[in-house]
Amino acid sequence: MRKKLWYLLLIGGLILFIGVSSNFVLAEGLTATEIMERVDDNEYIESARMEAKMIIEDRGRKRVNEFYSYLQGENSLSEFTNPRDRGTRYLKLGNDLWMYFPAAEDLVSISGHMMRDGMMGSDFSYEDSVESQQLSELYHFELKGEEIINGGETYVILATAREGEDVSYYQRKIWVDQERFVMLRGEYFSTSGRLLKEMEVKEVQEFRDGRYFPIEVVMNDKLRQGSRTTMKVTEIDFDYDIPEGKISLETLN
Amino acid sequence: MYLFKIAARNLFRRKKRMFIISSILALAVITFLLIDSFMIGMMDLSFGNVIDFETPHIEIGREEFFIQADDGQELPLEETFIPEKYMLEEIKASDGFLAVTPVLDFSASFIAGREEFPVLVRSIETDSFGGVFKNEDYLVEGEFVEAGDSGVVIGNQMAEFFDLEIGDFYTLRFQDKNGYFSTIEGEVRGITTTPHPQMNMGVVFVARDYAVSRLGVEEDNISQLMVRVENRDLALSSAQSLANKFKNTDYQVRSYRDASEMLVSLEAWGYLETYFILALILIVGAIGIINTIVLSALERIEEIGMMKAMGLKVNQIVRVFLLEAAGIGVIGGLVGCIISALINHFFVNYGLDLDLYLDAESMGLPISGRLYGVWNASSFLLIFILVILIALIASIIPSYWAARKDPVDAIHHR
Repeated sequence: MRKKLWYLLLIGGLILFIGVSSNFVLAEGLTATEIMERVDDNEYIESARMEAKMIIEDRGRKRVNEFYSYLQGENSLSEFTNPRDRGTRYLKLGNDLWMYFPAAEDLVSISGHMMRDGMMGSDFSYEDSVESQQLSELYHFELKGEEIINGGETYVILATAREGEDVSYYQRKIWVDQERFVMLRGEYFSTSGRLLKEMEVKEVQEFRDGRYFPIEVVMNDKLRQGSRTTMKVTEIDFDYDIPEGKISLETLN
Repeated sequence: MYLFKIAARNLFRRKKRMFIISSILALAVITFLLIDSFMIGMMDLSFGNVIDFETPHIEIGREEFFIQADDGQELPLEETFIPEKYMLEEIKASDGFLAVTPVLDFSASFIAGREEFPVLVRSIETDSFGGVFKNEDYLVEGEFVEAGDSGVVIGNQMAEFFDLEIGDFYTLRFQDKNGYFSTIEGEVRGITTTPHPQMNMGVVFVARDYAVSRLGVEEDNISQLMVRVENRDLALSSAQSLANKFKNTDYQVRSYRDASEMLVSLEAWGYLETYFILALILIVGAIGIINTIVLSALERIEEIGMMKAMGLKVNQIVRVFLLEAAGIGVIGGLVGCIISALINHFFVNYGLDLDLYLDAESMGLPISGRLYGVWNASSFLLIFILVILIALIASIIPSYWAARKDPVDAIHHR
């Protein structure tokens, strides 16, 4: 009997050890990677047409930019519709980004230091907008625990960039809603561990196919004092059939 | 001598006309010499500032690094290298060698408060940097960068733009060698005011040993080896000799002129512009001389007939007119050179406040403040000879026209 008890303790201890040491701590039977894959299922957009508002608050001033986007995997085409920026378009093809200014009828390739700048002066950098792959392809994940955010339980996951993948943030700390599998909060860190950006999801909406998608996100660049940007999706049509050639340099011109 | 006497007498017969034409030539001389002095002074100062603050006499780095830097792209951290011993030995053995210092340049965004600005960060070896560059001499506040220190030294324009003082906090945001966002943070340690405007706004100095830990590169990696030699002439020959030695390697050796292609082009354009202005004024002068010779031939048509009747040959009469034209050239050239020398004396000693007259920075020139002229004896000699030559050439055809008059027709001119 005593021997059996020892065996049970030993097996139990081994399971716990393996689980902890390889970060395969089970959360309702899911690993950190599986959690993030379910997040990707919700948040990664294969194809969609989206209308949104970008509310930029900086130095006490508030600016609202409205735009619509066609999104298809790693490619997208966005056009601003608010009076001040009407006709300004962004085209993203893989990791390349172009901007079209209607007043000057000028096409600009965004590269170099511009990629670090805030998109239209927002807290989202152009570099952020280029990262459109599934997170589970870009990062290794580690389940760090559980926390309650706004009364809801979340998994706290530490994402560390996979070697060789083209990502901007070496580490991210992500809070995932345990019920809906969407990110509720995110902290983006530099290689030296400095907090660079903070993302908070204000509203999540359930769509027809049972998919949950964050429709109001607040991004805060921690290196710029007193600024924050809210991205509000006003309309989104998943699996939208985008006409061929719509997301191209020809259309941008 | 006889012909020379006639020419000299004729020259002063129509003093007003001679004075006007000589004045035009003198104006050409003055314009050329002053622009020349201004141009040489400006280029001298520009190259001097480039050498003292930006790129010294010689720089050595990977070819791809320079390609991307010249293209205005982000400086590639993957093109950094660890200098090999033989390289340093070759550099130290080059003609006129004075000092060498390694630097690790990279692109970043300088952030302070709510503002952000793209800058070039120059991470330096504090011990050897002063031997090659003069930035430290232009420190107006605080201290210069020290080894292991997280502080930075910035230019006065950047300090004004960000409203920064010594001890204020800064952050540098950049992408490390692996493409991840990284930061360097600390306090502003010093502020410099150099005569090179770009260094006052777009460049930040940080200790290399501090920066390297955040860049994702190996500890000893650098982007360029910066070399100072005794003078600019030696720099060109030493750069060529080092380039031959590193011919079959990945490294490129550049002189300060190679690194300042824009400045070299600007210099060429500047000279072209000077010679164009000179040509325009000389054309006016030449037309004046043709006019003078034709008029003086018409006035002296009977004299010419008489001279021919007395046995003077066409060539001798032509020589009289040519000597007269050359005289105008000599007077114009001499007066121009003397007035230019007087004006240039003030220009050389007191200079011009550039900021009052032109925005050198917007023209892409690395200069600000006072610009001084330069004495260039060869330019004085060149323009003096050129003015006489132009006067001579311009008078050849009208002189022949005058000398070929039939003596009988000439005498019965009236």
